Amino acid sequence: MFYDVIVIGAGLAGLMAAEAAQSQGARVLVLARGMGSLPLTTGCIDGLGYFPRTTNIPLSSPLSALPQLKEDQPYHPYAIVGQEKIMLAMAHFQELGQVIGLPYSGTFASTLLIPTPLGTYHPTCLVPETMNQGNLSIPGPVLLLGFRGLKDFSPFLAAENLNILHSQGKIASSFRAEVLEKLDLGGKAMNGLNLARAFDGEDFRNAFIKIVRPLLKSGDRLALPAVLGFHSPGQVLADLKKKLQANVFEIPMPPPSVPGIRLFRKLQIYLQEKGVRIILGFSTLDPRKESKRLLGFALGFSKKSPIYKASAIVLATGKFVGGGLDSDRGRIFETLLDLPIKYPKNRREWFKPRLLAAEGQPFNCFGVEVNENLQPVDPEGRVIYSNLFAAGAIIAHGDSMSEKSGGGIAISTGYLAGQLAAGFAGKNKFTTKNTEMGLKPKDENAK
Amino acid sequence: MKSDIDQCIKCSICNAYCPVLKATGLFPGPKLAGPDAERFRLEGKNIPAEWLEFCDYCKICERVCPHNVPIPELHVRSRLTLGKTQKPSFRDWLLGHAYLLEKLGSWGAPLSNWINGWAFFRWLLDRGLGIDRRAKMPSFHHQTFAQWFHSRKLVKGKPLAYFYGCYTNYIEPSLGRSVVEILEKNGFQVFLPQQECCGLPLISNGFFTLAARMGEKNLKALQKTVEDGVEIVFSSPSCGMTLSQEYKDILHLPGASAVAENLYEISQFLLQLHEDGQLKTDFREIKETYYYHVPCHLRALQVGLPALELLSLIPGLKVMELPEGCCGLAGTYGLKREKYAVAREVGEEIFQVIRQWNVQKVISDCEACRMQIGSQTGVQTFHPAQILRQAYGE
Amino acid sequence: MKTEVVVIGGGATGAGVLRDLALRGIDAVLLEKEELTSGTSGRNHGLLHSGARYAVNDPDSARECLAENKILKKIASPCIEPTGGFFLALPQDPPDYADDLLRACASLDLPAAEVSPAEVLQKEPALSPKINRAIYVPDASIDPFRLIRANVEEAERLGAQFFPHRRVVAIFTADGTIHGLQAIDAKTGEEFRITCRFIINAAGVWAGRVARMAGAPLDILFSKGSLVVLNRRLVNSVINRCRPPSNGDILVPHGPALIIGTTSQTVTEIEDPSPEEEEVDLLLSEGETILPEVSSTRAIRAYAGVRPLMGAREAGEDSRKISRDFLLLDHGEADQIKGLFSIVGGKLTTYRLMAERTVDVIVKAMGRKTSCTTAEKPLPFPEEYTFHDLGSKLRKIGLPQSFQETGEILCECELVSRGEIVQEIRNQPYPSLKEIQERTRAGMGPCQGGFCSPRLTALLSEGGKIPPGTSLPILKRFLEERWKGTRPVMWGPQLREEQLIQALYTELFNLDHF
Repeated sequence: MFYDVIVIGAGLAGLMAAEAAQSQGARVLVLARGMGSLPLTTGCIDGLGYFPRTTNIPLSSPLSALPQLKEDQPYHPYAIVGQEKIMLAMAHFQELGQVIGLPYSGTFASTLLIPTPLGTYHPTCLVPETMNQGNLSIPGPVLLLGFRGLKDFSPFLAAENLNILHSQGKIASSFRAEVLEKLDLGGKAMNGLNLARAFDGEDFRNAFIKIVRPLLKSGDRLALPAVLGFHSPGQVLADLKKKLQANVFEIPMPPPSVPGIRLFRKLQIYLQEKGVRIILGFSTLDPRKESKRLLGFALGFSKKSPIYKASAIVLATGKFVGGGLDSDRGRIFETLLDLPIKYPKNRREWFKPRLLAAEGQPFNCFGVEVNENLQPVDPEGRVIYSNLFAAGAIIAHGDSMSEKSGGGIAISTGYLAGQLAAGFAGKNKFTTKNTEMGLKPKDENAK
Repeated sequence: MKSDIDQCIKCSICNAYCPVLKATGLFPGPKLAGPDAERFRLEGKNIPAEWLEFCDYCKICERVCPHNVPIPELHVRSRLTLGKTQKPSFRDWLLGHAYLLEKLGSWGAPLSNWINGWAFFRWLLDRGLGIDRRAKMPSFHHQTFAQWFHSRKLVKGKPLAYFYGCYTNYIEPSLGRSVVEILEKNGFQVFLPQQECCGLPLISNGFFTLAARMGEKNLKALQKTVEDGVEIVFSSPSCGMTLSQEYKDILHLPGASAVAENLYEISQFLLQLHEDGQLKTDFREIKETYYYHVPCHLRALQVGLPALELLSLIPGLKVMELPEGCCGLAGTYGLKREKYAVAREVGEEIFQVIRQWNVQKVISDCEACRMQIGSQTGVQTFHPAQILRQAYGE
Repeated sequence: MKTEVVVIGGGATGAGVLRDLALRGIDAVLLEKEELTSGTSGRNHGLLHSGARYAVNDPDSARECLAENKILKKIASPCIEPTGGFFLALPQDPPDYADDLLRACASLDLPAAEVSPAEVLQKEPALSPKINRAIYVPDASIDPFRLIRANVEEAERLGAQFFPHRRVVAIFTADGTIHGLQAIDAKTGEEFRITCRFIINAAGVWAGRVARMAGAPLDILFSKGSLVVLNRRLVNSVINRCRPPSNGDILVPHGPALIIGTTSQTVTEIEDPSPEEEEVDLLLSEGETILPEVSSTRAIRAYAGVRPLMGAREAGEDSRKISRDFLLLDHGEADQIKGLFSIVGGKLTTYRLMAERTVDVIVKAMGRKTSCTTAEKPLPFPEEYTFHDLGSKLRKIGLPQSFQETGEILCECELVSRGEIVQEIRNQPYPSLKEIQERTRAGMGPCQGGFCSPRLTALLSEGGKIPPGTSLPILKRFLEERWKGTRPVMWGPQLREEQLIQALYTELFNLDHF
């Protein structure tokens, strides 16, 4: 099967690359081993929370720090993509959000702080509408509601710590907590996804409202863990707001994250409607290549594994969690194409003595080196495969964990890589002749 | 059997996509029942598998795991150990030996179909055996697919073996006919190797020894085929998955790998033909919209989505993808009284989308999916081969 | 506060002594500068020796181990998994050692029995097929955390008192006799005094420091030993190399995990010991020789403990030694400080015997005539505690109905239910994340507390067991402790795990900027 662009990886970077390539008219295939890493993310898009990484004061405007970032860290993905394209990519993401029914508000030019289940705050840029009212600069009281049996959300713990921040003048909202006992989920286990699905149903919402209304005081906002609907969060939000006569918002949760899964699902359906083929859930990919060009991938190592070919490839496989990188006792390596990775020889230098070191963990900066066109390069700076582009966390430099820039990096590099790949494919189409090259299976003993 | 739970990083993505976990609180989820519990299971010791009763073996957990933790294998191992001490019920014996029931049903058709449609009989089955009376029973054909095949003239061509499976043989022989005719049009001489039930219902219901015996018989016949240099196609993803994966990973039958190398899902095979420029593409126009449901066991085969690629060759045909998920029937699972409602809840999201999008026709490679979706929503269901056959016309 | 005996040090020795004193009706207080098992007792191999390991070179030690092995199996069976053990020889091991071992065990009436390598391989198929000799011994796996706490709990029930987070800062004498001491509450800074006639210094590696507070010289030598924890147990028996004791000799299944140990390195630094990369590599390569799967099994943690050994002066004075590796020093005789006794050395397996000998001496000095009953009375353990039977954890929570009973599972790696944790929090006067972890195993699995620590912290906070506003520092400290243990094994799947956990605490919770 033959495509213009193959994207490896179904995380936010991969999906953005697929969408960007598709909207340039390319025939796109997305290949991913699992369901991407969106279920592990908050559902918000972080721009740049802290700069420099060691400060504890969040940036008020990520955009304003870009010039300095570019100077200090010229290899940072943001420095490579450049301010103009970052802004275009973020705007495009927001348009996309509108189209798929998951509008995101906010801007890369400004940080907002949202609460976390531990009662800390998280600096971010774009939030889904279900989290809008959680902006901690909104003054006034909030009722934090937990659900008995929902183990990752203790409203009391969150309220206690958030109120400490409030008393220190760091946030404008104040909190109190309640727990709802034993809501009937129709025999289903109490977990975030099941709760979110339950909220999609109007009967459940009405029962919920009946219990909650007496708990709300005038002027309260209502905060829930991130369970405000699975299929139709907008509808759930509007309905609750109307019937409770109060603003409602949800708080991001540990994985599996409902807002992350919502975003994945809606992007997936959107892309499929646009004709992007998405194949998920295989174990291995066998790259097929010529000396300076990738030809495609077989879905396994046997002679009957289907082979997918493309003019351009986008590598968006993530770091260790995503599976793009792996390690053994002596080395760090890129798992699909064995691209060169720079890392300290002594494994003790892969991490810092403290987990929560403000300067971040060295392993979060490992990855593939790229040039200004997001093409992976070797230590001498030479492009390795002419038709290969990289997007997202697989790119080296830029500790998105410490500086809070994961979503922004994924969107901006994904968008750019997708466009570049589509452009490359447009100018360098495969012919039938060259698709026959290099397509013998690795195991020559097969037949 | 080594369990590679070391790869599990506790991300819970398997739980997020497990269709049973979203349908009932009686299943603790693949993470807990799989890699979490595995560290506490000792070889040879009695380990509770009541947990696993509600696992429908869709293998979605393995497919969504970012690091290939073989969760279904852990479940089956646990079931296997439990099977040594606990005897399956008579109901499970019956459903496990589905091939016998189907044989009987076919032999007794159309009387058997009439009895099956008799409400009192279904009530008896429900109360007496725990086979839910609401579950749709298939209709049996008196003339089996194999009988039809052997009654016609031999068509010459390049030899190709067809593992048709019990469902095609006794219940949907027209599907088998479509497959044969497509292959013959493309220059193949189809032949049917000696075959037993693939054994999946036996495995799901705990009859591993018998499944292994039948597997050995199947492998013997298929090995001969492979030795003769002939490839094998199948049209039921569940049969195909059992032959190419379960035989090796669960039943440890010798020679399974060699056969698996030559086993092709029918759409995969035809698509490969097309890639080699050898598929006849003189399709008639079909100006219709169909919706495609990806069967769990097709995904487990890891052959991509060949039916979609293939159907895109038919002019005028529009095939939209339904959002992925498990339909819930899971072979004999959804027939069981204690599981019928769970099975329906599992597939509910798909059924809802079908209703919302006003879907009329659904394509799916798996017979169980066709049965479940058809009976729960009333839409017409098709195997991709049937559409292709239609497009070939005459 | 006034009491008869103050015991300093909340390790195995101190806990055992407290229990023995309490059973004999003697008023006693135990002071521990951090929490129970914060010292060497919380960093050992979890091995209940049969004694075979010492049979050849140290028969006295072996005899003691054998006797205590039987006694502990009687009084503390819930915290002992009777795995049995093997001494296994490979072609590269000295061929005579197996015979020496058998002979030595026979002369001690230690039930060691030779079995064929084929038999062992059938029982433990993961072992190396190169094994050429195999000897079965009654080794077992023991949970030191619970064992030590059971001792303290029983003592408290009988009227003894235990205070964690109390650091002794001064010891008072009058006319060459112990008169009392002063301690600081490490959490509040509050000082308090205890008047007492006897002080038992069971402070482990800090025993020298404590003795010097009373003006008594005590020379302790430090030997650091490192151990690696694997994600899966791979075997169900204790595995010993059949050769003269050396590094990386022993593999002990401990709950669902496997602990490979140990090394020994003389050190001068005793605070916060941590394994070196080379030690981890050495342990894995030694382990791999006898159990090939070791190299391909995920390591989830590595830790080190410091063994306090008696110094030169003490080693020379045979008369003072109760046994070769355990010294009870009566400072009244040695240094004219009556009432102060220091205990140095010993091993977990013989803790009860050490305590018995120590309390016998105290009792004699008091002029009383009570005898030890610690070998007969069983120790208290909660019903849900299942260390002795790994599979029972699954059986207990394996039924769908039990979810309602036990409440949800909070530590999914180690299958610890909310009910268990709430029970522990309720029962203890000083609950903490470390206490919950060491009592229930929550946080000891592959994710090393990554997902369960916030849940546990929430329970502590909601239960009013920690002062308001302390939940985040407490959580962070716990996470850093867990991180310390994973640092030495951070590669492969564990590196991936740690990246996910670190992402959780930075990307979602932003704890690195708080």
